[in-house]
Amino acid sequence: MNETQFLQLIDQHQGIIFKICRLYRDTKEDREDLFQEIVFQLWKSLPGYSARASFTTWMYRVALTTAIAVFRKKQPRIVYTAALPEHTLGPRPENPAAEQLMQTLKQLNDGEKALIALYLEDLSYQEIAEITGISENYVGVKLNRIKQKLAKLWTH
Amino acid sequence: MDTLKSAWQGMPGREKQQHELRGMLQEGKHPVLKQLRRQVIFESLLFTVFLVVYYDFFDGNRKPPALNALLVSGVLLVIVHGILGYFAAKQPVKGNSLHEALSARLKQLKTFAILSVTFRVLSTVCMLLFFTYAITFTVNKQLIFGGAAVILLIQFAILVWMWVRRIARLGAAAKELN
Repeated sequence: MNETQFLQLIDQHQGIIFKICRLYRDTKEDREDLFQEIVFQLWKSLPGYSARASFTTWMYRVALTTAIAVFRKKQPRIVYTAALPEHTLGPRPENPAAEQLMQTLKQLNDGEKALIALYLEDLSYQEIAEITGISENYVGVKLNRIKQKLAKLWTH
Repeated sequence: MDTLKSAWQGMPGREKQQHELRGMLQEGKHPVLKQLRRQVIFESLLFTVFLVVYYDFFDGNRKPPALNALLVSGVLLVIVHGILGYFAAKQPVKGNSLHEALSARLKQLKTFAILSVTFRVLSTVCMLLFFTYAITFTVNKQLIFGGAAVILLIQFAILVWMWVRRIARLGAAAKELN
């Protein structure tokens, strides 16, 4: 696969990377850094990609590994603006449902986040098992536990 | 769960342009690597200058050759540590599954943590041996040396704690997917 073909595939599936960044990082700057880190890692890891597996399966694996394994910045980045912002708590979210979902998902641990993200993408248990490396049955067990946890968090 | 799924799938994503994505493939534009590279270059330059001048400035000629060799080794360890850290940070993801990839990263992290703490301790010991050679310890000097030793021990403890936390976090994620 050459650079142009690779970039076309990334362009096509960049929504996946964006959602993973939102799930694993809290600030806009950290998400931007993670997005770039994931794209860079995908490119660096490309020689290890076998065309036998689907591109998205491989992409999920590399993106989730990067999101979990790369260290977060120790300190929040401070941005000085010329004027005080109008909203003290930040701008109103574009999509309140998505924002509420994210706040709930962020309360899960890193491993649980990976599993639920794959489930919410509508991947089959077989595909989730292939990406994560755990058995299909165990995927079911784990997801049931996470769903129960989420149901509690969602109603609170 | 269906509500969650539709909220997840309908989540808006900011579109990156092709030229932005192309730029992200370049190591030179990578934010973390760029920062690391600057740090490694700066530290290497600083320590190189130190190695050039220490012999005259810190009486290297009056100290045994073994101590001079220790000091040079200590400084080289700091430089090598920075370079190794840079190359470790740009390692590609390996493994056929998320669990395998995280386990491989965990192994790499543990190795680097041991290396990092060992290098830091060794380089500090080398420098301390050089600078404290032939010093006549008065009460004041003993107090200063004691204070510096306590500060160094606290720094080592923070370094170890930082690595333990990173390893524990990654280990927990790998275990969750086992």
